[in-house]
Amino acid sequence: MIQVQNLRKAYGPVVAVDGATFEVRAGEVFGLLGPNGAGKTTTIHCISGLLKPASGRVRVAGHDVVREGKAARASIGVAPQELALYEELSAAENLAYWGGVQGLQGAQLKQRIEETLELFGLQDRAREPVKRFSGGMKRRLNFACAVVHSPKVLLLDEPTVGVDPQSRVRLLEMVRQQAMQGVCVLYTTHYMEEAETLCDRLAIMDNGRLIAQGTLAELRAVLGERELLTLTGTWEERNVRAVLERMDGLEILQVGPEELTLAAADASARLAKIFGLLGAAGAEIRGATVRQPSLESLFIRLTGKELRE
Amino acid sequence: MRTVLLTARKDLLRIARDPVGLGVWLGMPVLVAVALLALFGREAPKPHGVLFIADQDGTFLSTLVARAYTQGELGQMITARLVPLEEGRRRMQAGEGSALLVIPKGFSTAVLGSGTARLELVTNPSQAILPGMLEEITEILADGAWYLQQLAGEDLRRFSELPGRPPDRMIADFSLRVAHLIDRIGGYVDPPVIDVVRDAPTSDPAGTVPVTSLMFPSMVSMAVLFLAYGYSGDIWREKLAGTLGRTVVTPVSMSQWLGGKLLALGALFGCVGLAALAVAKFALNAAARHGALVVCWMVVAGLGLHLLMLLLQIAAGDIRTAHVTANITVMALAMLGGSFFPFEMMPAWLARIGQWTPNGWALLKLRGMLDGSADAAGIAGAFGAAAAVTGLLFWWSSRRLRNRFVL
Repeated sequence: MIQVQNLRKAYGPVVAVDGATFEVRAGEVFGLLGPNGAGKTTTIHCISGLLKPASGRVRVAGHDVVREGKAARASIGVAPQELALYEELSAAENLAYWGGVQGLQGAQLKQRIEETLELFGLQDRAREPVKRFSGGMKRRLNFACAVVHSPKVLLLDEPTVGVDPQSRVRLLEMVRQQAMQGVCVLYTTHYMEEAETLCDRLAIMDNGRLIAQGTLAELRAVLGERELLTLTGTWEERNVRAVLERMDGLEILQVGPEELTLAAADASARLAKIFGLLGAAGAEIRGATVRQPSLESLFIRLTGKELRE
Repeated sequence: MRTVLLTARKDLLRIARDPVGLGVWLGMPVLVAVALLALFGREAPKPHGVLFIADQDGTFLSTLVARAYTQGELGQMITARLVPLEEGRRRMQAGEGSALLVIPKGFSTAVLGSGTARLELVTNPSQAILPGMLEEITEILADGAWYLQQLAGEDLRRFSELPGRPPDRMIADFSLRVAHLIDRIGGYVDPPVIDVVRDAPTSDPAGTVPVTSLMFPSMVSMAVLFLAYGYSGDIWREKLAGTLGRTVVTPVSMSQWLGGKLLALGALFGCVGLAALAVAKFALNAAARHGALVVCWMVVAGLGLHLLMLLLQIAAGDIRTAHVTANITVMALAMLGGSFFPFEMMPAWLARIGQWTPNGWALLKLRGMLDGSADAAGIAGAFGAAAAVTGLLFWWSSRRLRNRFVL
């Protein structure tokens, strides 16, 4: 349903998206995971037709977004990262407008407005101006405006940013519902747990490039069953590297002057030995964290940095 | 077309839900209208002035002439003051009076004899209404004196030779003779024997128009200009709210979207035009002819001005620059283009410049339609030119919006 091939987009000398290639199928939630500034939003903008790619090709529902932009856009529903609503209008009027410009009219439009209001739990306050809504309600309406016309492709750009936990759970349920109805969902986020629980397949993006993609299981396999050990303290980087490199089954992911990240199959069990070696090398350790294999540990494994940096 | 209507409906709802926003832009012209109404009421204001009379003849007849200027309706507008000639000329020079009437020595003798009498009227060029009326009165007096000379010269000479008031019988006989003479020769006109010497530079025609008629088109122009400017800032509100970006990812084109916005604004201009005409007719007593044309003109000219402001807004890199640029421009246009002050109140050179500003040009055409002085060809030409410019600005704005402004 979405085909992205060698997509490239630059703003002057800054390359925002660099040769991204991926495909999203109908009924699938595809997560685009990466820190702020990784190029996720630019990728969404290129797919939605808001930005023209510098090179590469994007097809949506069989239509090239550059050459057949209008047809491609008719298949898309977009929930932008920032709220995009008319605050003076009511929820029903917003839905009527966004549904109307997507081609719905008459009884069909009316029916879809009613259904969408009910689905998103907004029917009780449908006639109230949006400016009186809470942040969570506005988020839900922002999402509702993207699906009121029953699009084949749904682009969701960090829809849960700034949303309270209750609304977040509800929004994620709605995303799942859309996918179950056969909608192709492209979902960008920098929340690992969201991506892990929601997405059928994932792509990890950093500095404009896709550095890994696949199902959650496939991505975890890249990391293996190893745990991630992060130590904080002070040490001589050269000495630390020298002692740890001699240990079997231990991979040094990143060494900084005050933080050290290691991957090991049984890091918890080998903690005492690691502390001993580091102490002998003159290191002063102040803290240690052991994490189970996850997308976050994979991200650190692939990029050498935390996702939220 | 459906999309255009949808967008127009959406914008009209937004305008209706924000009455304060609308009030801000209409407030200034409405305030001016209310102030005018309070100052002048529904009727055009009556001018009042001073007529200096230098009576060098000092006779019964010259006194009658002097009194003629303060009779009836004119008497409510004119205060006559007898002054020596030199004082009269000095005070006229200082601009203290509307006119100076000089009745020269020998005036009475010339009128009662068959010679040519002479009245001198010096008018104030900075006023137009009263001096004009005084000239009219003097012309009438000149004609009247000639007929009096022809009809009753002999009787008047006898009256003037009597020591006191003539006896009633004499006056009654005289009246009957005059009535019979008028019946016989009424309708014949010959050149008068009193020459009226006018002494006044060309005056400005401003004062010949009631103030409300003069100010009303400027108020309308101000309302249109402020609305055009005020709602041009909506493009930034749409951008910052993300609704513009969201629109771009729908199948709607920018020209359809902008067309919808213009349709809504056009409807608003139309409503304001109708309201303005109603105010002109029922409250201000100002000239308001060609109502339908005037409303159409307000719509077309208003949309052109709006698109001009819109281009300024979208040419700026950020909202702050956009507002400052548009603000300065609209204030300059309002000052120069006759929206704050009518052209008649400006120095001539400034008015000449102002008439070439977009709102100044539109204001002149509006005035022509309101007072009925514009001909059909002129009106058609104005509409054609405005529609062409508006169309061009629409095309340009749509392109810029899509290519430069959205992101």
